[in-house]
Amino acid sequence: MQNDAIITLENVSQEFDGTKVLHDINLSVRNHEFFTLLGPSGCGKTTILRILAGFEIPTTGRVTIGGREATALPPHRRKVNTVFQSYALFPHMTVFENVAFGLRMSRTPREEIRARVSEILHMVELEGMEGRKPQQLSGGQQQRVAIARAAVNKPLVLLLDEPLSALDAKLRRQMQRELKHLQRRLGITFVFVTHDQEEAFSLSDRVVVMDQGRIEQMGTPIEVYEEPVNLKVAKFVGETNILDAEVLGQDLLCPDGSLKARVEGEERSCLLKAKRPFGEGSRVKVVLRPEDLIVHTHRPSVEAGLSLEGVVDETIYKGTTYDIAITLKTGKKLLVTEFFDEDDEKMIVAAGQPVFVTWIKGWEVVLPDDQA
Amino acid sequence: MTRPNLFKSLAIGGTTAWLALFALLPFLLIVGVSLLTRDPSAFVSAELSVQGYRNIADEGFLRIFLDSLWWAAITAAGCLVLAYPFAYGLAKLKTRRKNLFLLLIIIPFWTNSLIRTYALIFIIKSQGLLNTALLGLGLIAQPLEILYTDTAVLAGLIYTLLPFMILPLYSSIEKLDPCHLEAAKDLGAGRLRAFWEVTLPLTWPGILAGTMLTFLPALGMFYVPDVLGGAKSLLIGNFIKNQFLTARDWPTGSAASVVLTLIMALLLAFYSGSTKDRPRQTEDLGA
Repeated sequence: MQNDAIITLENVSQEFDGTKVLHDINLSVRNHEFFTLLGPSGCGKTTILRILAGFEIPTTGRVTIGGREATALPPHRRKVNTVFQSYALFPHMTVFENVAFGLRMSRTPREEIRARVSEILHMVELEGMEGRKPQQLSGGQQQRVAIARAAVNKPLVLLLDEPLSALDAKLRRQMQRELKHLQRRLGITFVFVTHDQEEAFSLSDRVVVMDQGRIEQMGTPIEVYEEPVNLKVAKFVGETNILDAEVLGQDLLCPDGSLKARVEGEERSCLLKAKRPFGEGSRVKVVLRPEDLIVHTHRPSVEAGLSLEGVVDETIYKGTTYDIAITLKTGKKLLVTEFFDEDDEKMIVAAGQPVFVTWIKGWEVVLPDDQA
Repeated sequence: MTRPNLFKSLAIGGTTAWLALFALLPFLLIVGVSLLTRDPSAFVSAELSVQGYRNIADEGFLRIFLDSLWWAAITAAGCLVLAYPFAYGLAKLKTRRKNLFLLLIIIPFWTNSLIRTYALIFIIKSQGLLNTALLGLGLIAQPLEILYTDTAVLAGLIYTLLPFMILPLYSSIEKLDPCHLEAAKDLGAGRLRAFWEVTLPLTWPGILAGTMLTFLPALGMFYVPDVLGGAKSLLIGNFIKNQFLTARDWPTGSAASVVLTLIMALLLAFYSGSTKDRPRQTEDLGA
């Protein structure tokens, strides 16, 4: 992992007026990867980006870019470029002048500037807009100019600070696809900052989930979604159902260390798949995604595993899916998402109807009860 | 007529009447007088003549006029050079300190500027504050002879007009979005380059406004050379004053006033033309 790292942060901490906003961050970004910093606002993701750009110098720790020490290197001497959240296009310059700015600063010959600007404007589909001022462009067009202005310099890494947050939902999805294509075509490493989990997952090769200045989890979108390491991550990425359980014992015969546990609302004990050991009597949380749950109108057979009794609160038709909100006997609310299956009509339930909920065995995630 | 309409008509009508009575009418009188004949006994006699204009068409007046422009230009440039760093620093201060400094700039306005000009004499005269301090510190052996020189006039003009440069500069620098400067640095511009390419063009409206607010008044500030320059006729304002009060040649003074007003109007027209097609600051960008 270290050998093809284009960016590394080692024990990076940042303080503002005595308040620590980053705690001992260690991460490395691989060359050509689409790397996303995901987290709620104020989690420190933008601070990391600003440290990479050189706008802030970390209180402690070390930064390398392209294998070279860059902790205190000023922004104009780094081979990285930024796409700002507000775009920060120069209002007194035309689109051409904006995009050519970086090349002009690096004393690129006039002819080459012309060629490279028109090439990148072609890539972001802005041909013919060269003479316009930023104020004469739509939000989406300004966004493209901002990306072109940064990418035209062929940086080692392109830093993107919530670049799509100002766009409406439809344009946003379109720009997400274009960003992904652009990243492949340019072959540049992207470090992307967002608070939108769906956006992070659909674009990224790897995601870092951050909260309160700390890295909670780093991994591929699939890893983060399916194997969250704690409740914080589980709750932040996507919808979750969380059941309380008590560990009765660890079954050492099972290879993946199944837990014998009692889940709330059910007298019988059951086996849960756990990635780590838990002591007898400890309280744990069982995390289940809405799409992992199955709703039955009749009590399922014992082989189906644990079945939790409850009553349907409401059903929400969403086109491709069908959401069912259920209150269990224990009072806990569950959300179930069913995908339509044309050969199966069992899913027609109505509010007030008693139901039984099971889940696909082995898809549960057992986490310590850390009260996140 | 509804109330808001009544208010609107009163507000606009009142101001218009005021300006017509005390600005337009006197100006028309001046234009009129400039076309009459000089009469030492009764100020002017009602006989049409262009002698006033003929008088100022000679070389002497042209020299005063060019000198005047030159002095006003140096004053405006001096104000700009002094005010820009100050306004820049001011705009970057924390709000509380910022307000304190703004107050300090405005306080001198509470005193009449003629009185403040006289006060300058006590600072720069031979045995004044400045010389006493410099002599006391051993920095100079002989007192500096500043009073009644061109230096004193320039110092007086810059001193009087400096706030009119600082305030518009401050307001345009404060509106600067720091992200533009960051973008410039991100794209490879060093400090100086970023200033030249981004900060300066984006604060251009403030520079122009400040220049107008210092250059134009400097042309007519006759009392500063009168008080500090030993009554030398340096500025066109002094020339006009002298024509009216000393030479008693009202048509010539009026003619000079008309020419000065026209020049100012031209400059203002140029100014508004150059700011009109300039992009506003960046509020309409982004979100």
